[in-house]
Amino acid sequence: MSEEKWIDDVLNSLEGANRAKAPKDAFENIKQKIIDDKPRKQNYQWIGVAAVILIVLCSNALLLNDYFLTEEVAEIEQEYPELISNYTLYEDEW
Amino acid sequence: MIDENQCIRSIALGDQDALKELYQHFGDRIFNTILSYLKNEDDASEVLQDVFITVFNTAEKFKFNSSVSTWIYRIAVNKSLDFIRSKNAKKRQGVFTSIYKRDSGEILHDAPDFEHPGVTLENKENAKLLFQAIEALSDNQQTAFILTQVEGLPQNEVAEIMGLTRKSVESLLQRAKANLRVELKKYYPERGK
Repeated sequence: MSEEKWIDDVLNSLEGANRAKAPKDAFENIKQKIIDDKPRKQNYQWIGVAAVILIVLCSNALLLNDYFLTEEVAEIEQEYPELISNYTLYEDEW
Repeated sequence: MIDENQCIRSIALGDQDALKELYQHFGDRIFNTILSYLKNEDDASEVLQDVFITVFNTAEKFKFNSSVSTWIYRIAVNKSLDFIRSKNAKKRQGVFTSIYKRDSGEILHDAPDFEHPGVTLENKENAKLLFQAIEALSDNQQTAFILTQVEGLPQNEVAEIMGLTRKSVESLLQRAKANLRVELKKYYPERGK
């Protein structure tokens, strides 16, 4: 047989071939893997939710802390009204 | 005939019966395609499962811009090529680790001669050589050849799966055939006689 003819035969060797069949247990395995995958995914979701709650709580704590500190400073400032409005410290000595 | 789009909508809501229906419709076709790439039934079965798990997990993101068949084939082709790449990477690691199985001493990664289960008896030897030669093609040429010649899909559907024009697929197919001819010359039984 000539080389060209032989190559043509090889290239056409899949003609009339039947389709390979998927293993019988493949779908059962797919179902099982989906079931096994679920709790793992739910765990990740809860970790995400917990992380968001933690971030909200921390930023609230920071804001509250900042708020009370500002009030305290304001109160301290009110204790020295003269010092703030009048910069003459030793007026009696003149 | 199943309503593929309706199937995907139901799968997106977590309906496993719809997934089974889709699997019964596409399972063998997708397995046949994956097997043509991987040439190993166990590996092909593993990737087939992975394809349908991906379909189940990503159905809600499917935009219906292409047909369901195109989408599933695209997933299968990508997963098959990824599997081959990771297998080849493991082979390269063989420089540093043993490439032999501990118990039997057989080579871990080398696939034995692949015989496609659907090929007729008189074509078995030739088909074995053809699958061997296909390995020498580039990823794109392999995909064009497998989807059109092994799977029998029309060129326009293959173009959609590969994200190319029909002309590009036609040219890839021509180059694939030309390269296969060159590769097959090495296997010609009367070579050198």
